[in-house]
Amino acid sequence: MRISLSHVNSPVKGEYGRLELDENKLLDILKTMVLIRVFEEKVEELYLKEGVLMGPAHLYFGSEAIAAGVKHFMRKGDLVISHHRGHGHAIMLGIELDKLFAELLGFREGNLKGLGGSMHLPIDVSKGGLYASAIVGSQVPIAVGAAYSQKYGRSGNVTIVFFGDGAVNTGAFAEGAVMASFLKVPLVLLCENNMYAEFTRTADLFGDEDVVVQRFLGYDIPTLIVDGNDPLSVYKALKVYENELRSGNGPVAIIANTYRLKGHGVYDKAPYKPLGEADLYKLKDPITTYADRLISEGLLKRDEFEALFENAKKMVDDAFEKAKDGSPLTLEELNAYV
Amino acid sequence: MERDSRIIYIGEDVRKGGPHGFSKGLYERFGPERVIDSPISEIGLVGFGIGAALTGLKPIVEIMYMDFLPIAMEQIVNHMAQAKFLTAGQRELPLIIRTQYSLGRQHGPQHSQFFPSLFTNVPGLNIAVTSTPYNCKGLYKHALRQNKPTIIIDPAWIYYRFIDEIPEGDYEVEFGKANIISEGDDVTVITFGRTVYESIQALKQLPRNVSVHLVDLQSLKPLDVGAIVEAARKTGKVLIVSEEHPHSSVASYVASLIYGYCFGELEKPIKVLTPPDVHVPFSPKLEKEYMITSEKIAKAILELTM
Repeated sequence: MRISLSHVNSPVKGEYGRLELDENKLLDILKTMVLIRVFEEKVEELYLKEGVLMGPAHLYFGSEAIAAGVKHFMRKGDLVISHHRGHGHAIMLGIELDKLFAELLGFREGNLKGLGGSMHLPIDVSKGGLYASAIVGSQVPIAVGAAYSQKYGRSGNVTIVFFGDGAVNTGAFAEGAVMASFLKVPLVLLCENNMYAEFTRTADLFGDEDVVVQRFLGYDIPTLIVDGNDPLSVYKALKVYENELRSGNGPVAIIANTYRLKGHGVYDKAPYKPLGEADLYKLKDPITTYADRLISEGLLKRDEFEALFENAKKMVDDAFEKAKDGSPLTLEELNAYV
Repeated sequence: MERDSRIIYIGEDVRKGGPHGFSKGLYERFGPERVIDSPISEIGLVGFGIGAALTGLKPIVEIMYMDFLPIAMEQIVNHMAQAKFLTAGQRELPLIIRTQYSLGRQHGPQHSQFFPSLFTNVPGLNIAVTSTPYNCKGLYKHALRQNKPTIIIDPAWIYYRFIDEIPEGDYEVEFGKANIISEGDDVTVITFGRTVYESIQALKQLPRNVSVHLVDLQSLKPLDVGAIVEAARKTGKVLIVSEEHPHSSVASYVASLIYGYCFGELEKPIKVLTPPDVHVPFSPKLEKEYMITSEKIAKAILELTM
């Protein structure tokens, strides 16, 4: 029986060159994380304080490092397939913020013309956002097909499919992993293990802290475990397997361990979490942790870090102002999209 | 597949031709990248097809029996049907799922069912049921040249009735167009699938003075509403024949259209001939009683003429 399971540690400074990490990239990773955080804070405010946004929204608080780590791995032609918790992916892909707000408002100016909303936000094919499923796990087999096209066309491109720890218990995940394994497609199965499947702690459900890892062991897919709160660990895991992936030798799975800082949806206050758990994880907040690292490595000053939030806030506020007076499609116009 | 290298074919056992020989010879001609034997993973298969179709390929996904389609129902309903809508038109989905139903072949309750209305109910899907080698070839060719998510259902029964009659040449049978098999003035018969064959046989059993306007719908979605209404108006006496489960069926939708468009022009209430609302029995004798035979159709036509 073959099982390939390994941990990837955060790169030390001496590895940056080999991993093609320069100062610009290292700083942009932080900027991306900050922008995601500030965007989500605005979204939360628009739901809870302003009451302008409606319907479900599953926010990305706590997982920013994963999206930001993927960002600089991606090349032109690489594709992302996302899920219901995908605002961070949309921002990482560079979809215009005003289009994202327009989409959340249900307006024709949105990147999906108001047809998809929050749970499909990272779809913009021109930016590499191919698809996002609101059904947990269903995106995995779809991603296999996308990766097969890349292999068939000998493009050297890869598809990255995001899913959570909840998804690994679905049949779609299992069959997607089967298909990925036997077709040897250039696919990254990227599990954002935020420890919670809706209102339930995944490990508690099975009485097994390793349950998520267990789900990856039957498919002959090399599986890497990384600290999902560290963008450089996520990035490094991808780079380690880049040649294998781009030369069509088969898929890789990455389990990025992180923590969902808030509730399942925007209205969920997560009363079911053990007392103090969220506070503990705030100490490991991916943004401050990574900023501290850059500061200690002499790549960033404290006041520059604070300025990043100011800049992001202005970008986000301006984008919302631009988006807020849009209008929805008419019912008759829907026929063109069916 | 010769014309368009974007077309790929995937399914269980397809390299060996599958249980009915439908894909026989494809692997030898088009090779391992384009003709793929898959594991028994229907969710994986349909999901694969969606992803490949979103990225420029034209996959044909074979699901061996129609009874296995509901395994992948979630992929079909939420993703295949919605892909264009969810990408707000950034992507079309040129994906064909092909399958067959084996009613009449003693395959029992889980290998014989015919339930197209599970899928016609979903916006965004194109659905055709073949009935002859001619429309089978033509509907596939048409579907492959469109960029629409499509399900094509063959009655396996026809594979064994018309074996030497696959027409030569390049032609298409358009979706959304019914086929008028015979013109007639006394009774209109509207049908699709295996019962097209039975209906043609039924015509031979009728007295010479009864003339039947026989319509094969071929495409269930889009549906040729014009042809349906015109055919109903022509005789004022309508028999709808279908081997679906009767409740909320395509047959009942066709009846509702006719009532809606030309109620006042009907001379008699519409007759709908389907099997009873029970599962398909294995017992060969019982299965035959369950099915719609040419005798049952001829009898129903005669009843309408009285």
